[in-house]
Amino acid sequence: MNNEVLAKMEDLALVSFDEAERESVLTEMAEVMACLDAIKAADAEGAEPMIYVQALENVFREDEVHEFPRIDDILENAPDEMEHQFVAPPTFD
Amino acid sequence: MTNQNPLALAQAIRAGTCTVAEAIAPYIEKIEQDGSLFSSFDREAAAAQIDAVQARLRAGEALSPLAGMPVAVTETICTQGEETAAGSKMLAGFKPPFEAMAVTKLKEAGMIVLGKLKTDEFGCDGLGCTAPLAIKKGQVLLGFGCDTGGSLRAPAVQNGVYCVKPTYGAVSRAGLIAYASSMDQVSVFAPDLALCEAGLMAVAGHDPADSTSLETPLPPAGGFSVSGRKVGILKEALEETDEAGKAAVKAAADAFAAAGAQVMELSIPQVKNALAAYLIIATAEASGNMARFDGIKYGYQTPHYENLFDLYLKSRSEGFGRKMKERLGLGSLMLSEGYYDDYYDKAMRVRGQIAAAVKAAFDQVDCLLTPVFPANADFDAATLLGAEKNNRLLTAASLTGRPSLVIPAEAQNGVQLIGRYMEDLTLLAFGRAAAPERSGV
Repeated sequence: MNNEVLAKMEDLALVSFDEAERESVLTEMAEVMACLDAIKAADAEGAEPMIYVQALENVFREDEVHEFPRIDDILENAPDEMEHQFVAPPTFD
Repeated sequence: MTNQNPLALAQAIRAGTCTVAEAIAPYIEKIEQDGSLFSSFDREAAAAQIDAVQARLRAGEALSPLAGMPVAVTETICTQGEETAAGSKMLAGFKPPFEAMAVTKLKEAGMIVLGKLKTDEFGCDGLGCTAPLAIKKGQVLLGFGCDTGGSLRAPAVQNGVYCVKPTYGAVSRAGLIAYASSMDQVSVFAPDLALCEAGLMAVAGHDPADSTSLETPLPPAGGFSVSGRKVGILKEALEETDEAGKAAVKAAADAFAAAGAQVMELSIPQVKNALAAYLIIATAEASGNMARFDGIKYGYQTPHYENLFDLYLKSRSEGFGRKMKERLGLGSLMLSEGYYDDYYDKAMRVRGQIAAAVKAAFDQVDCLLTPVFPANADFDAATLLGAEKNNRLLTAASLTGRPSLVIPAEAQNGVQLIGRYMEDLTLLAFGRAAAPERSGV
């Protein structure tokens, strides 16, 4: 764990840590990575990856429209709304 | 009235010798004396529910054994029109336009959902979970929340309350604010095992809205007896715990033996990797689930930004707390080039190894017995790893999706019982044998 890896984590997760806490975040993440070494060291040769505990299958249903009756309730949660739509900044300059 | 046996009180409500309002009043009074454990409590909404349940009872509707009883859900479970912030600035003010299936089922069963109980951010590690305290203070009878890697079971035992994490898929996750989808499961807090069972039965069942919801109902335990059954004490967990944990396991083992069960020690070395596998898989899943929080659709939006990317970055950086940002960074890293094969893929293979080893153990035994906390558990842990280490004996059940019941004992430790898939009710019967003096009615 170093500043470069921490910067990669921030970039990938789209978050940034305050400058004042970077040093302690680095220390904590180094402890976490040391704990995760158990996985690197584990012998998993031949083991199948387990994503879900159940064997998931596609769940099919009829392609029917189900009206959601409370559109206004959804838009009430939007930080900014105009003409029944979410407002976002321009994507292109 | 909160001192009266709750199931007897519920029976009195159904018999008409006590009204729902009379039964609920002492609980509401205690919340109004100290509402600090609740993120939201609406007396008027509670009164409306009370009137509705009373009317259903008067109309002769057959309701559940807990109809009229006061419950609450953690703030990671959606309730329509009521703030559901999941303990995060990111979701401050979010009022879901729908309610979770678990809440719908509680209301259909006639329970009174009094409000929302506080959690730590997105309920990740359970250190800020107030539900067990609300039960101990007599503010609610039951609590419901989401346990991922022990985040409900740990605070339950720390505070002297029971908790059952059901078989993965036994309870719908629809309407739950997701953290790690392959392990999140609605779980039940209760002051005794009889109420644990009643609470579980109220929320369990198939839901088409959750593609991982099991179609088969939980089979009843029937006349199950532990006599002649085999209980395995997990050696690796016993080695990690303190004197209180060992004493709790010994007391449970003695109770099992007294009830005619055969108790043996067994080893599953693969579980030593459970915490590391859990951390990788849970944070990786969280990084995907939390990608939706972008400052546009709901929740926190930074007031100052220059462009769309800046809006995303600042809203997420200011909206998430430090531990959550660490989790998201870690999870994203585990899924990235250069880390995926060594960590994420390997963790999933280790998960498969653990599941296979636990399955093989169940060829020898009918129930696994472990302590709940390792030695030196730090209930004030401020770091991501510190908090997760507390819960490390609980993660194997999460990774494998097996039902896990925790029973509190002395000195903030207790025992965990892990059962067979779908045999949650049998697991509760094992619990009654492990703690016969505190099983309720």
